[in-house]
Amino acid sequence: MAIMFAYQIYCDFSGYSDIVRGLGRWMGYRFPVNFDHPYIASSFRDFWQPWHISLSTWFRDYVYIPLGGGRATGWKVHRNLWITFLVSGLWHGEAWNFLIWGSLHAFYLSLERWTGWTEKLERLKGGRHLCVLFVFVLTLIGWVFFRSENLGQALAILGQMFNPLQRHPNVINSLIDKNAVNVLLLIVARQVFFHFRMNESKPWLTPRQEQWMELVITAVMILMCVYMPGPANTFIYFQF
Amino acid sequence: MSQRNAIVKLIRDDRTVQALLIALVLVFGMGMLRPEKQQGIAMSHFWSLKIQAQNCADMVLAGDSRTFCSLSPAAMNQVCPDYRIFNYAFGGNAYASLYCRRLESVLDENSTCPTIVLGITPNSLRTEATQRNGFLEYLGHSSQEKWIRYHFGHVHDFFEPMSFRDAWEGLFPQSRTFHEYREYHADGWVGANIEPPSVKRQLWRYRRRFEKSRVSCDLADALLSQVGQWVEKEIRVYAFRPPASGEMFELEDAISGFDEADFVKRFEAAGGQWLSAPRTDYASYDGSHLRQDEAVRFSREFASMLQSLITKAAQRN
Repeated sequence: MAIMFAYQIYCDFSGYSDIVRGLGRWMGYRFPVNFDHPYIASSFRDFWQPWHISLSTWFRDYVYIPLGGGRATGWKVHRNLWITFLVSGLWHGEAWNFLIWGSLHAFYLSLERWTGWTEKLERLKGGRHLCVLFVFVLTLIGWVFFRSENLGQALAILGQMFNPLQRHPNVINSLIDKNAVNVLLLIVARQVFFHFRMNESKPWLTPRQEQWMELVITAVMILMCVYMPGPANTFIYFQF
Repeated sequence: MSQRNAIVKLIRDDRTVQALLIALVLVFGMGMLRPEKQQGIAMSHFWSLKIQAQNCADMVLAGDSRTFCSLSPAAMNQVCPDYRIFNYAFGGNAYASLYCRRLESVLDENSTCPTIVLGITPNSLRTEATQRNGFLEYLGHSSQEKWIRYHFGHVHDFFEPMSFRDAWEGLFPQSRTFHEYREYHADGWVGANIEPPSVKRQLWRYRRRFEKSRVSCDLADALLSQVGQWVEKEIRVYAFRPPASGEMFELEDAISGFDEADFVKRFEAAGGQWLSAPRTDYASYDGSHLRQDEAVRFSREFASMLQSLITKAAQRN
């Protein structure tokens, strides 16, 4: 469920940013890209650069840098990170869950900066893939707080996420019937495809094969839009 | 450059066109793989026709899915040929006032023998069922949607949601664990069957429903008051409890809060006539709905009972 929400919020917001960009281009405006494959980031620093670029850039330019940004020394860098992410959390809503979400990301970034764990892990063989996986899982934990209505619900979801024995056997079947797994698999497959394409020094597909792969993935997505529509809801990010 | 060359160049070079063409092939291919092809008229056309029915019948059959699966107007007409019968029942339906008004409007104003037959199930007397049901769903469609469903039913059905699992089962029918069959008729009846049958299939669903909400006394009172008004307008009103499996009746009687004896007494006091049709003599494919051939048999037997009641009433008058 958490993975689905991660992709739901990504597709929701990235999708409507792209709609705006397309409409703008029709009218002669060129808006910058707002999301650029954030889920294949191998560090939290890499995650925040391509995620919601317009807002992240605003926070960087008007909160983080005026506070001293990364040029400050010692603990002040961490203080700047925490303040920026707490403000970012509060920007999403005056609720504890957003504050916890902001704090978690501030913690992730502080830890990463302090220990350099992602850089160390990346030096190992296959370490980059592991980094992508760890960053994604930690991001999921953040999304649980972002989505939950209260702390109790968030903790219950986290309990379910990390304890497969608690899972109801009918959940998987019900997800398959509701097409959720199909859609998720395609989106994850597309992300994995991008990840390997962008990270491998030696390409495993020829440019022509890549082009065909892209076409088929896009066509399957259109197919899913036709046969597997979800309930017609408004965009999640409209509330922010 | 000739027009043909321009099209070839577009297909060869434009990635958007290429993606759309591949998508077109996939969409068409997957639609063709739908494992359960419906029979009769198109499903979308059927529901559109039903929701828009008005001023067209001497006898209207009302209720929920148990009624629309169990009473075939065509089979009833074999016994009561003088009536124009229409099955106006909807899935998960309840007797809300809006539904009662609409079902009355299905009766032909000029009919000499306007008759309403109510299929009474505990589900059709739950308040929760008045808020979400097939009737409201189809009534809520925009006029454009209704038009498209009415005129292009088969095209609409082709694009009905389906999963990759459905496509897989369409491609390899032997992998399918059960087969569902539905035949839609313009008179409002749905002949249905599932192989292999399982009389317990629906039990857990109904149990969950009744655990959430039981029969509403207010809704039953409102229906009985409506029956009184119909009788005053010289509309004959009959009611029956549609057949199902024995387990289903046991479940309903145990936990739905429906007191049939009391309801029948009050229904007859309101001016209606209760038909005690056989309940468990007919085979059901899921415990709740009658198998198509059994529904035809039940419809004939039910029509005979109804005909004899109508004849007796006519003799009394």
